[in-house]
Amino acid sequence: MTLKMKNILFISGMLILFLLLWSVTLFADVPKGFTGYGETTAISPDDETLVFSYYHDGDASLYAVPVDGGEATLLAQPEEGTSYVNPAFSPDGDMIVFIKQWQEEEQPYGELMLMGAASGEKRALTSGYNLITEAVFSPDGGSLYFLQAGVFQNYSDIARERPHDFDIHRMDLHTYETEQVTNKKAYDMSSLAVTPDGEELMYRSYEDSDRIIFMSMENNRETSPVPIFDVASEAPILSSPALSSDGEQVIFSDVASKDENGTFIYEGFRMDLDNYEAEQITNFQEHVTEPVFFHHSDRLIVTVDKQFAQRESDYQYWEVSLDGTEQRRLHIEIPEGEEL
Amino acid sequence: MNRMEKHIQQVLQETQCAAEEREELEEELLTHLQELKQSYIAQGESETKAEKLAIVQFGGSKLIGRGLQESMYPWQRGLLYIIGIASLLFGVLFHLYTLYVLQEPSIGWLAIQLTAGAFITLAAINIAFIGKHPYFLHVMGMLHLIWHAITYLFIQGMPMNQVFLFLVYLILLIGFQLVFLFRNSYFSSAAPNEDARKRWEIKIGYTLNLVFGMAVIAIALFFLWGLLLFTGWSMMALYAFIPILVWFVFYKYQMKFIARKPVVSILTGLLFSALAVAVPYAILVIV
Repeated sequence: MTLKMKNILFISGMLILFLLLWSVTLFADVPKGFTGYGETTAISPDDETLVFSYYHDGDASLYAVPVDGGEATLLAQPEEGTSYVNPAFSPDGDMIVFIKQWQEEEQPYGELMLMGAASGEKRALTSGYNLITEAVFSPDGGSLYFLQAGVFQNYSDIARERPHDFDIHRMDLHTYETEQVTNKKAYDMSSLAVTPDGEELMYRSYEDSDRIIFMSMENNRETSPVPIFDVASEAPILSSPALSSDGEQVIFSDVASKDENGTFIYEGFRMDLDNYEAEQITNFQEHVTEPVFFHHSDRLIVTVDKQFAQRESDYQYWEVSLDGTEQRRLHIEIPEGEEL
Repeated sequence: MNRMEKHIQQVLQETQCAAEEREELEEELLTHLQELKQSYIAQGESETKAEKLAIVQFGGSKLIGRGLQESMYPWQRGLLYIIGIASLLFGVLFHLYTLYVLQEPSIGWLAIQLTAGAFITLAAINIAFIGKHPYFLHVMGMLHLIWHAITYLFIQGMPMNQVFLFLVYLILLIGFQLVFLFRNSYFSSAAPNEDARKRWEIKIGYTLNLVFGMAVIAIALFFLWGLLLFTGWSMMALYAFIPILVWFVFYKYQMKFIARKPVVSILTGLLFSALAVAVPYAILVIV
C-alpha cells in the first residue's frame, strides 16, 4: 500500500469514527439540564403549605406540598427555556409572587409574576427585559417590594458575570405603578424582607463584607447589625438572612466549620435583634441555606445542599426547630408527567 | 530517477532523518547499490538485470528503511504510534464515559482529542516527512501534552471512584509523551559522534530544559485554571498561554544551543523560562 493511500485511509477512518461518535451522542438520551429541587421555598401564612421550585431538565415549575411533606401539586409550569423561582406568599395567603427567569444569548432576565394561590391564574407584572431577582409583599399586601439588577457583568477580570447595580423598587398593586426606593447601584443585594410593622426593609448586601441591612422607609437611614458569634472563616460569609414573623430574630447561613478538603460548611444561625448575639442552630455538617420561618410556631424550613461545591447542587428541604433540638427531612413526591 | 534511486527513496520514506542527514544517507546507500550493480555487471549480467539483482540483494525498502529508523532513532516511531493510538482510544473511551455515565458529553473535547491523536499517528505514518521538521514535531508533541494536562485538570474534579482509571491512563500517556519529547529533542540536535561525557551533558541539558518547559506549562495552566474557576471562559484565558508561546519560540533556538553548549544552556533555559512566566504576568499586574 502506498503512503498516500495509507494517509487517505487513516484520515477517512478518523472522520468516520468522529461522525459515528457524534451521531451516537446526538441520539443518546442525555438530560438537557438540572433536575431537582430549587433553592428557595415559601411557607403559606397559615403554616399549612410549602411552595417551592422543582427543575425538570433545567426548567423550574412551582409546586405546593403540605409542610409535613407528601405528594406535591403542580402550581405553575413555565414554557420551555424559562423557570419560575423565588416564590413569596401575600399576607392573606391568596396570592403568590414569583420570578420568571430565562436567558437569551447568555444574558439572564427576570420578570415579576403574580399568581392566585388557589386559582393558579397567573399574570405578568413587569415586561420587557428586566433583571428582577426576588420580591416580597408589604405587610398590608398592597405593594410589592422587589430587587432589580441594572447589569449582568463581571466587575473584574477575576470574577464571574453576575447581576450587579441592584436597587429596591416598589410596585403599588392597586395602580401597578412602580417607584425606585433606593438609588444605590449596589454590587449585590438579596434576601429582601419587610419588617412586620412595615417601617423597615431588610436585605443582605455586600459592602467590604457580607452585611444584613435594615433600612428605614421613612428616611432611608440604615443600620447594619453585626452578629456576635464564633465564625470559622476569617470574616462572616453571611447569606440568606430571614426575618421572623415578629421581627425580633434573624436566621442566617454562615460558615460553621470546614470539611476535610477545606470546603466551608455552612449552618443556620439565629441572631437576636435585641443584642445581636447569634448561635448555631443546625448541625447538618453540610451546606445549609435559605431558611424560612413558620408564622405561628418556633420552626423553620431550611434548604440543605447535599452536593455543595460540586458541579450540580442536590437540595433537600428540612424542618428544624428554632432551638436546634429537632431536624426532620421533608419527603416530597413529585408527580410524574403532570401538566397543567 | 532510475530504478535504484527510486528504491533508495522508498527506503528513506521509512526513516526519520533530517534533510542534511538524508542527503548523506541517500548518497551512501546509492553508492552501496552501485557497487552491488557493478559486481553483477562484472559477473556478466546486463545493466538492467544487474540493477534488479542489486536491489534484491540490498533488501526490501520497508525492511531496510525500518531497520535504519530503529538503528538511528530507536523506539521513536513506535513511541509515536503508541502515543497517537492511545490518545485516540482515550478519546473514544472517555467520551463514552461522559456520554453514558456523566451524561454530559462534549463534542468539542472529543473533536480536539481525536484531532490531536490523529496528528501524532499521522506523524508516525509519515515519519520521513516529519523527520525533516523536528521542531514542528516538537511543538505538536508539546501542544498534545498541554492538551492532556488540561484534560487531567478537568477530570480530577470528577467523581474519583469513577475516573481513577482514566487518570492513571492519562498519567501513563503523559509519561510516554515526556519521554518522546526528550528523545526527539536529543535525536534532532545532538551530533552522534560526540564523546560520552559530552553526550551525558547534552542529555542533562535537554532533560533540565524540558523540566523548565514543563514548569512554564504548569504555571500557565494553574493560572488558566484559576481564571476559569473565577471567571469562566473569556478571552482573558488566552493570556494564560502567552508564557507557553514565548517558551516555544525560545526553545526552537535553545534546542540547537543545548547540543553545542549543554551546561550553559541550563542557565539560559532557567533564566528564559523564568522571564517567560514573569514578564507577561507582571505586565498583567501592572496594567
